[in-house]
Amino acid sequence: MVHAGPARTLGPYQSKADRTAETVDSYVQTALLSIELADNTRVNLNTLSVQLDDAATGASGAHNSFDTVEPPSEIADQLQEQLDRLLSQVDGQLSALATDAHRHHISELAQHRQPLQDLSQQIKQLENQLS
Amino acid sequence: MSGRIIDAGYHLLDRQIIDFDSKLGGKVDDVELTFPQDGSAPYISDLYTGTGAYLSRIAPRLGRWLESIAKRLLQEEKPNVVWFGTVQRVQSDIEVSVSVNDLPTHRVEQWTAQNIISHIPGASSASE
Amino acid sequence: MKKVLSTTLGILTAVGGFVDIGDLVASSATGARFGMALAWAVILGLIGIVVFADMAGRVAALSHRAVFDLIRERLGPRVGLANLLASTFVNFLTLMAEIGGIALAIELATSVNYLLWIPLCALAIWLIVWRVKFETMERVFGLAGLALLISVLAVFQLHPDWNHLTSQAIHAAKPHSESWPSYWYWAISLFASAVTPYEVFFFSSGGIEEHWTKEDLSEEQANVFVGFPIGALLALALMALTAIVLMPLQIQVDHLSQVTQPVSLALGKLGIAALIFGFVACTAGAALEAAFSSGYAVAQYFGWPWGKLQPPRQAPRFHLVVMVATFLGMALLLTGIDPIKVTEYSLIFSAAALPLTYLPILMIASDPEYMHEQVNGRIRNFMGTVFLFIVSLAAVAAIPLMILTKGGA
Repeated sequence: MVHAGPARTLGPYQSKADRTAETVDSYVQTALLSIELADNTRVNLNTLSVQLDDAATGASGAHNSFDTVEPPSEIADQLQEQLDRLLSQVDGQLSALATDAHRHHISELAQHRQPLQDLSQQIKQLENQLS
Repeated sequence: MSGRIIDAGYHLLDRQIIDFDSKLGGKVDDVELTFPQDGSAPYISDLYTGTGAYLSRIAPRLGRWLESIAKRLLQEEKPNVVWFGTVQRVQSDIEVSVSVNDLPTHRVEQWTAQNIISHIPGASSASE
Repeated sequence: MKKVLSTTLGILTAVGGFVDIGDLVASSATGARFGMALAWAVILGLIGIVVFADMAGRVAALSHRAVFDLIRERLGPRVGLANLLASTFVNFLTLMAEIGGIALAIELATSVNYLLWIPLCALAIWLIVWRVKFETMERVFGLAGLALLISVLAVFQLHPDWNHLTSQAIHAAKPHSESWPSYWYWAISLFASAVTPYEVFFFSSGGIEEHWTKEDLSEEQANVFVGFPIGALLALALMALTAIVLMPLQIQVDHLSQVTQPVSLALGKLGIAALIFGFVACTAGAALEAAFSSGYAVAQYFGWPWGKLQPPRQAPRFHLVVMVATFLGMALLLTGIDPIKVTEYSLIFSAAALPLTYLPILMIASDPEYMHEQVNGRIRNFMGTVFLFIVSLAAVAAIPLMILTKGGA
């Protein structure tokens, strides 16, 4: 749980965390949409692969960029830990998803739906706490 | 000598030079005025076109240096000149009576054509 | 009958060239973030390009001289040079973005990484400039680009809430989650994507190559007054697609692959196939235009022979410029720069350089020495002046906004 600390210490770091969360959630939602499209055979395999690859690369890129910033205080540390945990799980899901698509294991894509939806909810909760 | 009185700045400089065949031959990068001995009105004796002449207006020192190299390489006193006598018509562009092959810009075009472009297949044929 | 066919073809070819990677990215990205609120920027851009392309076309038909040729003549060598440097920089960025766009589009169809396609795309672009006839090129890419009309079909297929969409467009309101600098940054990007200078250079130089005269003015006007609006329609369709599908899901568009999702939802695999085909055709067509424009600007400024009417051997420096620009663009793309980011930068720098392109066109189009009896009337001069003012405002704000929003974040 993030406690509202002194605004000036948390401010910029908080914004960075907020933006990162927003970006990663966008990629999670993209992946979820792709899963739905694949489920309904609305998308061809090649395009699906690219969509999921882009989502995985994008999310991990945002994660790396967030990790390069030092948390300025202990309270920020907690935030860093919490978000980092979520982002790592997202990375795991998205890269597994992309791999499944590459191997044409389309029926296995749906397995990732629930975990990704859960992650998205948690990220959105975190965003609400931050703003 | 008689002739049209034209505003050199407005009517000649930076205008397109074309030959009698309407082929493009560079821009008027510079003009030379001759001040007659007898004190009558100065007249334009020559047009200049080419990198040397162009740079003489934009970056004078660089231009003079380039021109001196060109003079030595080509053994010509005025490497970038277009004799004013060849000018047929002055409208929005300047038409000269000679072929574009006789104009100064053609030298560099030729060099580029021979040493670079010609080595690529299809350089001499029209598009299809 | 032949005249009707040729006019129709002229219109058709106009469409394909008017949607490029800049339009694709700007329209889709703003749709996902702002809904239809920035639709006004597309309309404004449409009016602007119609006004100036029409003027540039008329200048070509009446004076038989191309834009850059006349810029130096009217503004002098120094201002002309500043213009040339700025335009060359923007043309180059655009060329790079377009080549990147072709590669990204092919990746979407093949799932083979876009970097592997870049050398092939660059080579293909250069080869077409080198060998293919102007007319053939225009027709093939213009017609193929019409495949993008699938996006309009997709909008209808999604059965959107039309009231909601139109209300968003009319109120043009900034969403709460966005800042004002972001709003204006993206408005300028969208506007710039419609009013890109290379289109004007290409249109006017193409008119010279096709030997336009006074008699061709009606065809020229048909090209402009039908072609560009269809291009704007496509941009609005792409905006609507992401507004309808991606915005509610809070998906931001950072990749070309995301642009395929709404069409996928609406029309399935065939829809995507048509969309990707359209992407390839439009970005390739635009890459060609940008490549030509790089050559046109330099060659016309220095008075060298240019264009496709003679064998390459007779316009060597023109072709050399095109070659160098294409090769450099390819090389830079191979370093792994994100083509989408390059696109966004090309739009902003393009916006900053707009007045340099349009002021001379307005000046020349209102000069009877070049235009004779077809000189701009009061309406054209008025529209031209108003848009020059708008374009200058955008130009001044563009780069500061880019810095302020850190590239539209």
